[in-house]
Amino acid sequence: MPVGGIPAQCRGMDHHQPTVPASAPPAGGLAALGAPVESGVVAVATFIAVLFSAIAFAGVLSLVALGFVVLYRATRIINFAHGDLMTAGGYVAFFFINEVGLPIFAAYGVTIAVLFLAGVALERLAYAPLRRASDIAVVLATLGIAIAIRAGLGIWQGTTPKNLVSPFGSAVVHVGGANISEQRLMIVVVVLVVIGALVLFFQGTQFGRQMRSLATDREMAMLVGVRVNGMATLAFGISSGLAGLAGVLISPLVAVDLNLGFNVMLLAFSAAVLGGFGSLTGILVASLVVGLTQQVIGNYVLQNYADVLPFVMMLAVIVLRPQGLFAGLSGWRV
Amino acid sequence: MVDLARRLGGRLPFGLGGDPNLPLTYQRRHYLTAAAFVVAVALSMPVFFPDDASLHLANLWLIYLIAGIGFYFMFGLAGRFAFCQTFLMAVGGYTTAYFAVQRGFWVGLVVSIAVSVVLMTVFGLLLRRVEEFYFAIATLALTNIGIEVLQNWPSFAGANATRFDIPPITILGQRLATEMAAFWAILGFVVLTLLLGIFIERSPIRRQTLAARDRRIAAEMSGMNVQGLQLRLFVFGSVLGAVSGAILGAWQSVLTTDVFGIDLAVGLFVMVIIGGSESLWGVIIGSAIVVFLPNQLQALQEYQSLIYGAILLFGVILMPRGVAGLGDSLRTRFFPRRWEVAAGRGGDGSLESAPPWFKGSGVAPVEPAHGPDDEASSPLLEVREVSVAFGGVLAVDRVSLQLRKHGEVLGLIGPNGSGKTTLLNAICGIVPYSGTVLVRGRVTPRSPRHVSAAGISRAFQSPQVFPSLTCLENVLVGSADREFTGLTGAWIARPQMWRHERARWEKAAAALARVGLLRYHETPSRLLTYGHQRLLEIARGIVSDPEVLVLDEPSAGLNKAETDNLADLLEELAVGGLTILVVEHKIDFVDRICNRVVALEAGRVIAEGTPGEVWRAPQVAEAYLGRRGIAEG
Repeated sequence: MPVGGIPAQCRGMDHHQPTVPASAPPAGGLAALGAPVESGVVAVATFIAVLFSAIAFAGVLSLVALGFVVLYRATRIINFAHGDLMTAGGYVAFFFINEVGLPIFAAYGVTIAVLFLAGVALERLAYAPLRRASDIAVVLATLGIAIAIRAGLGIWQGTTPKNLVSPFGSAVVHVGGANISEQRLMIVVVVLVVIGALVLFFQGTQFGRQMRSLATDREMAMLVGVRVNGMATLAFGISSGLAGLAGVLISPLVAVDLNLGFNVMLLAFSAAVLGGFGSLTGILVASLVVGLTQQVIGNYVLQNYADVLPFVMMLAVIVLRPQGLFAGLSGWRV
Repeated sequence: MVDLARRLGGRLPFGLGGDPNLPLTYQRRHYLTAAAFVVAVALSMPVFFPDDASLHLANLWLIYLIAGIGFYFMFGLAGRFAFCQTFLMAVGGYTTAYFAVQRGFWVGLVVSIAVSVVLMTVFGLLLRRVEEFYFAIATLALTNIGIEVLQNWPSFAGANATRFDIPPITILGQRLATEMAAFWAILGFVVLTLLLGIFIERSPIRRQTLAARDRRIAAEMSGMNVQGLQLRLFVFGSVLGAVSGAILGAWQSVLTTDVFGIDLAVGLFVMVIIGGSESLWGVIIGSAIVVFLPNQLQALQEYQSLIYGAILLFGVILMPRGVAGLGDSLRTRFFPRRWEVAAGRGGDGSLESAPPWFKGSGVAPVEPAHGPDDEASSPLLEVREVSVAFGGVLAVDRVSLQLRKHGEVLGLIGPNGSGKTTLLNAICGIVPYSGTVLVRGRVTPRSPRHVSAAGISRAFQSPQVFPSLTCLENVLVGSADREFTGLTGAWIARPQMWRHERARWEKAAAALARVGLLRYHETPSRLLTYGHQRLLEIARGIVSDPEVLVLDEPSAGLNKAETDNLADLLEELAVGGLTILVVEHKIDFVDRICNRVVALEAGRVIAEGTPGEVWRAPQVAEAYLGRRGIAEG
């Protein structure tokens, strides 16, 4: 798989369930916008569909980015296996729904639990033995895990892309002439609920406060008795669980294949960097910006470069404003 | 076996261990190893690579080796976590292909080298301040963008970035179209690459880049241009990537972007990690494993990536220093160096005091740059109204102080949190401040490197020695003479480089002798005791003949004997004309070495004078003990 090249399914996310009346898919860049063939109504409907698609995608991105940031702030580690854990979420859910035959939502719960445990295992395997090693060594170990997870999934489930059913089938809601699949609406709701729960966790529980103390001042946290090792395990678990949830949510909208998570992870990197690697609000806003840039601008203006526009933004941010674009936003921190 | 080793003086037989008349870094017989490797590959070709299929693999190995060596320089030595080497291979491949069709391979190669130099210099300059993870992410982003551009640029890279028409390498009009002919050409490229690499290994660059990789601030404070050196190594490594890509295209006559995917990116990491991230020779083994192992495991084809992943994970955990590190431990076992023998590996504990190349005497003091008490026209160091704010907290509040005389020792005291270390950090340009710092009447620029060049040396509160370097190399990093320490010295002006190096060795060895550590000149500094590490830092500080040596709690963590020894040393240095600014807590230590003391409290100067005056000042007692403490005392 080329490092470049986000597969098309991440872009439109529309390839399985056409959301726009059959008349005209958005095509042809700026010229197409004013093309006489496309009536104004259809253009608006298309735009609304693209907008919802972007918002739902941004929701998934924010979950992945949150997973990164939670882990980074508790352990100072960037986990390159994060994307492949997300892919694993898609495959595990597929396994429990299609092969074990669990009800869909039960399968979701089991998947997230499995991924939480996978995160714990990952911490034991790749982080705990390297506590005294350099950060680079740890990141390389996570890169090794990433490759191994991907290869393992390929051996287990084969390389043919899978389709995961949505709990809502292909049900749609009509908004301004556009058909919005209920799966997308569910994503938005789930993301909001999860973020609410995380805020409660980080602000309201002893565990959450301890974890935040690690991000603020590691040594001081250790001195006042925060169990740093236990926190790292928990952070890996939560982070991995979030990745699994993201995988579960996005899978009905795209084909599940081995590269799914890695590509989404790169976009989530962009969101995390834009958001300044810390504030929840920053991550949410940045995910929306990345989602909208990629899907709206990518759909209308620079189609060939839709996939890499977020990377261009990320590069610009890293060079010009490494503290992030939205880091100054006040709000809850994770 | 160990007996034999001792009889050989801890050296490999037949001079294979290296030339004892040079410092340890230069003892490695790189040229010999390179020649042995190239001859072995050439001779073993008919045996191991008898047919086109196996020769094909050998060629692939050598091509990846070139990219891998480039990656070794940017990732292993410079410590830059770069993901863009595969992109550079693509740049080299497609650029060469584009120009080679009309003008032949060599024109294409030259253009692609030029393109990659310009591209990566610009990119590297943009990212010069970006650290570790952000650098990794940024280079990953660059790779994605770059590959996408190639895929959308059919007139340059072919439709869908696929080219079938790449002409082979030509030499004197001969098209090297067979595997055999290509093998010799590629081997030629490998020889060139190894030579450029060895020139860097045998130059001051190696110690500098390792110092900067492990202790960036300390390296800058020693006067190194860290960003500049890392940028140069990054660009050099990238160019090797481009050359490798250019050869790959010409050799296969076909290019697609699939080759330059994540698998190859990970493969490059595996090469350097397996080989050992600090050894040029490790890359040869690492790249051989990456290329030949999957081929040996044909039956396990579908497990290939799984095995790569496992190698990366367990390699990092079990063999952090790679195959080269493994070889090094074997050598230590059977042919220990003198310091290793002395460190308890079966020797009698004695160390020769001076290295054979050292012409000075073992105890010669560093020549004082100035006589004692010679009044300078303008103050050596003047701090004028310096303030440092962290958020809303004023850590240092309009502090002024002066050091006027050579050989003066000014103590800076104050309770914890009174801003002493912060003031030192401001003086050294490590934290931003308002106000002015002048050295000999000239305003110092606000970066550690320029502060060092202006004549201020610094030792840190917890000793910041460069752990992967020997003691001698640690001191060499602080040398004021930086002539020919870069790529020019390594590649072009080698005679001049050698001349300056010899002078630097002498000076560094003298500084080591001054602090009493000369006998550890070959010992890796990470093995020194805490007290010795502190002395080593002082040696690194004085080797550049600074105007002012800045010390931050030099006696912290030392026992009584070590503290006395340190006080003796500082007194001698001051008598020799060295001016010292020292933050210290121990009262008798301050009394003994300082001529003058400034007391800080809450960022402000509350007393100044001789040690006796300052200790007796009521406001000082109050700062340390509080009002009630005085009443009760």
